[in-house]
Amino acid sequence: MDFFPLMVPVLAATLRMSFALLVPSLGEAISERSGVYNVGVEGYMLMGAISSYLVAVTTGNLWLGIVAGMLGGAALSLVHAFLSVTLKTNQIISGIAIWLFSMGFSSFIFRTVGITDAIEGFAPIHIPVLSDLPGIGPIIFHQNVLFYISILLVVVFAIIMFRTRFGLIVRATGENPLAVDMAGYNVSLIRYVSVLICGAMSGLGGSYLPLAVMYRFNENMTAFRGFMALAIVIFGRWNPWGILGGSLLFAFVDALQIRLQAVGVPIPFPLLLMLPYVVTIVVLVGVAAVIKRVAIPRKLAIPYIKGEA
Amino acid sequence: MRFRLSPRLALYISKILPLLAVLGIAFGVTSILIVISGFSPGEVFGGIFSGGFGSVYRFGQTLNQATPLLLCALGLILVFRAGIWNIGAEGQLYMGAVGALIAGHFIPSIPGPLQLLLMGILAFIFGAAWGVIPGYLRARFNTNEIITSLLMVFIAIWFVAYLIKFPWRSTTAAGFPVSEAVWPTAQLPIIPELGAHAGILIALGLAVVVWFILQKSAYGYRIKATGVNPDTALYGGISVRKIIVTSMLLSGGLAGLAGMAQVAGIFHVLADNISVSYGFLGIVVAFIGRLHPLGAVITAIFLGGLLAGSHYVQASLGIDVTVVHVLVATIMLALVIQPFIEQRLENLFKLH
Repeated sequence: MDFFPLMVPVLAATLRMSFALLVPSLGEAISERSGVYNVGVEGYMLMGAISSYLVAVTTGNLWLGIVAGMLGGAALSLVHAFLSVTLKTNQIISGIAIWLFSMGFSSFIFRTVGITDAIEGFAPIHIPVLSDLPGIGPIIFHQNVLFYISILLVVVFAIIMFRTRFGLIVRATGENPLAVDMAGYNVSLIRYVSVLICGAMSGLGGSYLPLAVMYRFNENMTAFRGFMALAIVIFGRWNPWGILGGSLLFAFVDALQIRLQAVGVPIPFPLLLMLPYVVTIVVLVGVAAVIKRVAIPRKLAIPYIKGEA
Repeated sequence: MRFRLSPRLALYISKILPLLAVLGIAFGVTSILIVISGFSPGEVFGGIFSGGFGSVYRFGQTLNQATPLLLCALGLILVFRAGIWNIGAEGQLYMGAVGALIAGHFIPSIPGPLQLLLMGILAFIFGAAWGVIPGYLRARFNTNEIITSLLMVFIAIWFVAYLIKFPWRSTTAAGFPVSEAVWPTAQLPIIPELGAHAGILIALGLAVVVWFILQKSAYGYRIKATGVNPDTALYGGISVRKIIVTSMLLSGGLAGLAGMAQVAGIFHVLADNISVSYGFLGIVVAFIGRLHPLGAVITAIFLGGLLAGSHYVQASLGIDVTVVHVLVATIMLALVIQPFIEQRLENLFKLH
């Protein structure tokens, strides 16, 4: 096998598949920074996927589908926010229960509504000069418009998180909610907002799959990407740029494994399918072993009780 | 707002009202879905209940469902009490099933009890090994065990898929890829009348063991101390690292036994559908059972009845399986929320 001809489609696929990992991870990073852990990101993505598919297929408008996907994810995340912030339940259990619920619920909606048509989704766009550059042209400049939006989102999230007062308050909420409360801000509201952002972003990430990859809906099509997002947030140290790097890494392994299967490498396909998960664990251990200074928000997953440190 | 009610009345309200309220919401939401599907909630709920508890034989099916739930939940109780979040019980279950198959098929047939014992031991070892990896990574590198244990679930599932589709593929079974069958001596005996396999007895026995460990042993004390506050425990001389590793070992081992129960009791082969998220449902069972073995037993039987009843209702009414998934998940969600609402109500009524 020539190396270069193999790598071009793999790298192009990497960028194409990165959206569904990158965008939910950005949302989860904001939520975790404020102190709420969303184990149910996978669920938000599934709700986003089914909502966006149904709206897109019935209205014919992809962007309406995108909006519907974000609303679907946000709606489910509202439940988690209520459970975690207002009722102060155990966020891990709540997240798992919400995930299990959404698996059944998204499939139920799909089967009940019964629409299975394929849709003409987002296709790669052709940029006049850049797409034709040798080598990097087909890789970087021949993606669909959502990919470029995701890169923009990384910049936006970085700016919001580190250059705005809102971002500062959100980050402070995850480290010392008592101080934020004493400063006069509403800790619950901040957490609700960050969870809703996570839900919307995850819904957006989930929408990518039916609208830009498969062009239809398959049950559980998110394939546990939501859980990889949780790992990516840690790997990226709750920082949008690190998350970008992590998403690209995991998307690369995923694209590589698909390509190897297609090419016919003599490795049984289940072993190849294992690869992204194994790499994720290795990377997590590597990060933890190498980087001694821990960046985890101090009060992550700990409910804030008014007046308590 | 603070209400003044007679303490007795307030106590009843704060205990019962949340339960009724959340169950009501759960049933309400699911009823809507049932009606949308074209069925009546009465016949569906009635069907589920009678399917799970309507006859001795059906109760036996309930117990069969409850067995892996209970085994996983017991292990999870140990580890959750220590404050370690093992989300990977499902993967440990599958690896335990692998171990059970090795002892039940690749080792020649030997008298029943001995072979079953061997299967149990090997299943425990395999499950424990799978569980100790995230535990060790947490103890040594402080990696998040939620994610590592969860990722290992997928690795385990794909590993089993590999085994049954390639090296261990059955040459005799038609249709779905499964492994070769275990020896007849490697099958759990069926309890007469009930129709449940003996796994439930093993699970109940282990529930007593776990209770004993938690309530009566020094090790259990160390687990609970670690869970309350690892730093204080460390200061008090408890090796938190050892607790993390050993509790994950036990938790993985018990989940592995659940896998053995599925292989030896029901399927008699290794397949990729031996578990319907028992590992994940076990998490919810443990939690609803208030992390107490008795609570886990009750919840496991209850959930087992829901699952068995849902099979019955699918077959007899033709209702789609996803509605039942939603019902189960909603009830679980409701029961998870209940204690926290109870707490809020107690605050409202100023009870302690």
